[in-house]
Amino acid sequence: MAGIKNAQAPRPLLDVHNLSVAVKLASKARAYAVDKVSFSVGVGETLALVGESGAGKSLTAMALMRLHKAQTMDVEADRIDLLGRDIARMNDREIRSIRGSTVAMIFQDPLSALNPVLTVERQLVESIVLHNDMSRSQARKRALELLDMVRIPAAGSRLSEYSHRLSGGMRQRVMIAMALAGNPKLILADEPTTALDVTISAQILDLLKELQRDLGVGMLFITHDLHAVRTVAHRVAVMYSGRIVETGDVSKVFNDPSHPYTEGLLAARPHGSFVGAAHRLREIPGTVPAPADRPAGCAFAPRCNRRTAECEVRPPPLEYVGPAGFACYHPLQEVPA
Amino acid sequence: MTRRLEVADLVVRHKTRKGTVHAVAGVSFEIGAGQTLGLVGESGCGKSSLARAIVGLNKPTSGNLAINGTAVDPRRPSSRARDMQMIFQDPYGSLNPRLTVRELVEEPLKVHRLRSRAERREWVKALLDRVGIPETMHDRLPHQLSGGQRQRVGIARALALEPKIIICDEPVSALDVSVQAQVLNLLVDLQREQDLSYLFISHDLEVIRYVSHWIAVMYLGVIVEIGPVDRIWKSPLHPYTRALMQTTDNREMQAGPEVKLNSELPNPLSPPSGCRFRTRCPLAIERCAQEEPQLREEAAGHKVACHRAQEWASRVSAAA
Repeated sequence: MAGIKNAQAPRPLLDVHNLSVAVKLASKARAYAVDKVSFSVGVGETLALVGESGAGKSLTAMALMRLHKAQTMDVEADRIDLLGRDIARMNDREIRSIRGSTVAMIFQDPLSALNPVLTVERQLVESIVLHNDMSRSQARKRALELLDMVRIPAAGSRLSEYSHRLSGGMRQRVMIAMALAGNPKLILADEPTTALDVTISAQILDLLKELQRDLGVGMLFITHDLHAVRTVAHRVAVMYSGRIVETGDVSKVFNDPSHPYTEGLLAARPHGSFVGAAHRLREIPGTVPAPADRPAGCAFAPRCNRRTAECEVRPPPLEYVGPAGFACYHPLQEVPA
Repeated sequence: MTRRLEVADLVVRHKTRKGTVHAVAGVSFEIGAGQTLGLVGESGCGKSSLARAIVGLNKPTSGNLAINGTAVDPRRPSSRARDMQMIFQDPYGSLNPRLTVRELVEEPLKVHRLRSRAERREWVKALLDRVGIPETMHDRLPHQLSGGQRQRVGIARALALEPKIIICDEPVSALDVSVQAQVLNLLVDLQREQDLSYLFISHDLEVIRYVSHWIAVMYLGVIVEIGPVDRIWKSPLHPYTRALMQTTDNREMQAGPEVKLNSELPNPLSPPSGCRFRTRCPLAIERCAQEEPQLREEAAGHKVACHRAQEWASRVSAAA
């Protein structure tokens, strides 16, 4: 298959080339928890990074913002272009000026991400003043606007609340309001709905989708929830054991996957009822290998029913056909020999 | 269908500093032999309180339980331990970290003084074999296992006393998708082999649909809709069930009122008057605030607690 890397017409907002995160192990050895991932996020576009736990999704986002644990991890990258500037070469001070302003983050657990001893108002005003040229009274007004924007009912009365007094959904909304305080161009959302109930999670997904569309920001949406991907994302990158194994438009990847892992992941989700059809769910045997135990070839090979000797030698490269790419020697579309 | 488990008017109250929470406010249902009742609802709706009260980890305030047609005292858990066991969401938190896999599975047998030492050894090995834990792992500690393996040990432990009823409280929620499928398949296979009855609790509707024969939807301590899996999936009548269905990829739901939830669960310390769902219900009318709707049968086995269900029941069933 011809490995033509598709250059997207408009310059992407974020363009990541070969980002790796090496974890230092006790024995002075290093294991790549994220192994040369490349992806891009366009203006006004949502890219979902999806995968199971240990796939390296969150680490990827943390490494982008240099929020990884520096004592135990090293980040390497050929290039990380954000609005045309290579943030991989920036020093810590420059990175700090980007965090919260150009790039904002939303975390899975807003209770630990919000300051428990400051009121919602203090925290919001603080980040507004930090990122905008505003007086405190202007900032207070802006804080109210932001709370309205994330649809917190009776926003005025919520300003004096502490985060632990809010419900999970409200906290996540405050978190989103804070992320918007710096007028970001890119939002990194790390499992923002995982800790929430289905009905609340649906509301937050709707909100994120609307904000993303109205404000035209790019979003890197990290999740393990395939339904959430379908709801919010334009494109998706499937990660397995620190590598991207398949990427493309959500409809293409979900309806016509190329990589056996993507297909297995989709088929493993319950769909239907065993009572009526008496069908079994498709299992993916085994578990995800730890970065240190990753096999030499394709990381998925030991669990894959399509593997051949070829798969165990070298990891397959991520090859593109148009905007869609996959890293597999024996994709599902291949005619069996 | 033999009735394996009957629960009638079960009430669980928790006293807190701020008042009394009616975590379970009068719940009745039955589960037949070899059947699964799936219980869905948001966190805080009382599903875990209900499960723990049935199995005997919490004392219910009032209510009746019957196993195989014989009434048991709901306040004396030891009377039903051999008929009923529980599988927990977090196998790490529910397994003693200092016991090996083998000891964990053997423990219930020792507590109940069943079988000789040699027989126990045989039985434990057979159980672990069945749930797919290889013999090389029988002497490991829980922290040396993966999440899926821990849940398998939890299942083997629950089966040690050969109960016929298993209460599964979110057994796959903490697991990754590919491991979830393994555990769900195991649970379904075990049910067929041993004619087990499950009360299966989850917030994941697709998981519930897959494992269940019957589905019950719980909201703030009461069951608002219950029925055969196909009815609930294709023609749900309660607005809350419809709202839950809209959060899934369910494309088989019959046309009916569109329900989108914009608010959150009200404070369980002071549930709304009348219908508990009315504060979030876009279809609420005056009557809903005054009168609490009771579960009433709209079709064979399909019961709904909603004043307005009948208005579209005929429409929804006609389309089905």
